[in-house]
Amino acid sequence: MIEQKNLTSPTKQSKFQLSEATLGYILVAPALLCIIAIALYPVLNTFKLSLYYMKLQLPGLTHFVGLQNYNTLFSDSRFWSATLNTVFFTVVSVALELVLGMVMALLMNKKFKGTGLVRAAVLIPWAIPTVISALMWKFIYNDQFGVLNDILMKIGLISSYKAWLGNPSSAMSAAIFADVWKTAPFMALLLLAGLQNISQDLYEAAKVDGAGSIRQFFRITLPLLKPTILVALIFRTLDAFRVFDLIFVMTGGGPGNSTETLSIYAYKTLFRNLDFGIGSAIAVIIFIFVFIFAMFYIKLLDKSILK
Amino acid sequence: MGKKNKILTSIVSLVLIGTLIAGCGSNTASSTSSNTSKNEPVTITYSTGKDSTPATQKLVEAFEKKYPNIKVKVQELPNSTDDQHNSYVTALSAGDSSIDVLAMDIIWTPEFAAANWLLPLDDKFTKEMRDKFLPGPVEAVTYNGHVWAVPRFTDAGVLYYRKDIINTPPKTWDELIQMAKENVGKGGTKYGIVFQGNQYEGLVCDALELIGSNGGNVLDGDKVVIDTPQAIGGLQYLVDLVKIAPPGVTTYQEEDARNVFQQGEAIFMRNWPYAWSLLNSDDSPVKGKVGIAPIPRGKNGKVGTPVLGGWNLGINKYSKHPEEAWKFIEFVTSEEGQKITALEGGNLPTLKSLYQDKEVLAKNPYWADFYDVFITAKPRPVSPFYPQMSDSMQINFHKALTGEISPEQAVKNVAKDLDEIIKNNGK
Repeated sequence: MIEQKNLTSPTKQSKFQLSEATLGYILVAPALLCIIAIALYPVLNTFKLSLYYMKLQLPGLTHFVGLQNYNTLFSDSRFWSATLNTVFFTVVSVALELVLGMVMALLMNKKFKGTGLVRAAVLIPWAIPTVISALMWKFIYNDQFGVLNDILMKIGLISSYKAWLGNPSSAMSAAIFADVWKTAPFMALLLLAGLQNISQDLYEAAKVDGAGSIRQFFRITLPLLKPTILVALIFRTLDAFRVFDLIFVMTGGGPGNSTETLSIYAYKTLFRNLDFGIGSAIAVIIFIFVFIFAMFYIKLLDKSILK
Repeated sequence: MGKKNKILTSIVSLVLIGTLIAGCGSNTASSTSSNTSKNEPVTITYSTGKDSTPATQKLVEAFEKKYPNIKVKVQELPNSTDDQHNSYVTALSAGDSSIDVLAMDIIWTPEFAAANWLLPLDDKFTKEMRDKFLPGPVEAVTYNGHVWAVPRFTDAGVLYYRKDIINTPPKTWDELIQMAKENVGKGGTKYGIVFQGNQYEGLVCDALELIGSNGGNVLDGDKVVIDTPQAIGGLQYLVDLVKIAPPGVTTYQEEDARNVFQQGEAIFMRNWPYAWSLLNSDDSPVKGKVGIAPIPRGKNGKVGTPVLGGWNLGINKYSKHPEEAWKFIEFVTSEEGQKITALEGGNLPTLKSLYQDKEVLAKNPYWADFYDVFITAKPRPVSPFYPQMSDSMQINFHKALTGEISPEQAVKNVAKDLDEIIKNNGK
């Protein structure tokens, strides 16, 4: 802290010393170079590839085609169904995670015996790597020895074992459920941090004025939690939109492509079909979607903070 | 606060510097190892999927004994073939020379050859040598008029059945369905058949077997010929099989099917020959109760046509030691090498002569009877764009399997996609 003060004081600056701005640039240069090398370059290169006809099996035929790859995609029904699957997965899973996360956060914010234990227990799903939890859920849904079938059978909800991941009508819901189970705790954690910043005085004042707990939630908790909610939504929406590992492990895009998301489609086009032109175009489209979401949320966030 | 931050920054920078130094270290090590003079032994790298049998180890030992001047480093790739494919695509598209000999799934060879990643082997794997091999696997390594790899072992779909329940295995698929319906429940069975019904390459194998066995075909030269009553009938059999299979068969891969069959829950199983030794292992509930038969035929077909599987060895085009790499491939695919693979790894040889070898047959007695079956096994379409074709078949066959579309519609969709792939790329 003391050294920093010395640097910022203009009186100490001699002719031979670098100006503060230049020094700043020099200091951030290594980090900036790193970001350019590992983030900006691949993004730009992917964008470039998306404008080329490029199939690794036809190495001599690579050539510039402009926006033709995008045209091909927009008239490809598989692309649209992958987009639809991705949007459905994102909207449903993020909405459920927000609601469940909020409930968990409100519970954890209360003071009761064993709060620490509950907080730790709730976080366990989030601590398990996605590939492991996806495999775990795959076993839970298994048609022969899956525990879900066993439980539902014992309660009497189903009369015979079902293949939850083998049926187009249940596979997507099963995948969403597994995602909600894993990431609702993350949502809860972020919201809990926001809740703890809200002053208790406000609630006491509201109580004195005779507001019930529902009214307190909508008039105090929700408005003050808005920035936190938005940040949590940014994280989760961007993650959910790019979902890959969970689907890849659980269904690989099946049954009958009913769970194929844009990331899975991009992966298959790039690495299985070796079509780098179209595959890059899908990747760029994912990037653009995610970019728009991020911009939208940041705008909302700015507004809610300025208020 | 400030002090904590400082400690953190210094740790991070130490780690970064550490990785930099480590990176440089490994770089210099690899560049010196490739820089060998004439008298020093040459090291070649053999890249292959993880081998849970001692076969690879024994092959390398026998080879190094025979050629003391060549050392073989085995580079193990992940278990899943998809991951192996990814590793190869990443390394080879960047012109990586660290791999010399690569093991390839039978369906990748034309793709890798077209991408210019393989050394043509016409003058090394000569016509005279090729004639000693099974014709199907040789056809599968030939693309665009050149030979690109040597078949290391072969594979073909077979039908397993419970011989304590069924006396004579079915000759036709209709017979099989009939037998399954009549006998389910006997001997603790719950289902008629298990097979590979997940949306992946295995489903394409099972479906093409049924289509072929019913007299249908996918490609004839570069003409798409799948839209025929025979092919639709073949796919219809697959849809009918779902009705006598466990509900989850639409998610099953090879091992899922084997597990259910090995637990004694199914009468029939379509699988690859690898399952034989596992089904007869000491802790298997169905040990000694399993029979093995050729794939049945459909009512419009003359003969059951198993789909050809197997693995090939090729040389990386950027290899710095192509001669030594060839020596290794020559040894592994020779009678001596393939015998090791057959005895230690349980894989089917690609050399005709080994199907009469006493030692090999003593260990795998049923191979002698299956020689006629393996010789008729049909390769999947040989095309560098096979993965894309397979993708369309996986999606549409699976939709037919789950009842989303009819077999007619599935076959029509596949025909349309395949036509487009061939029109856009040539065959």
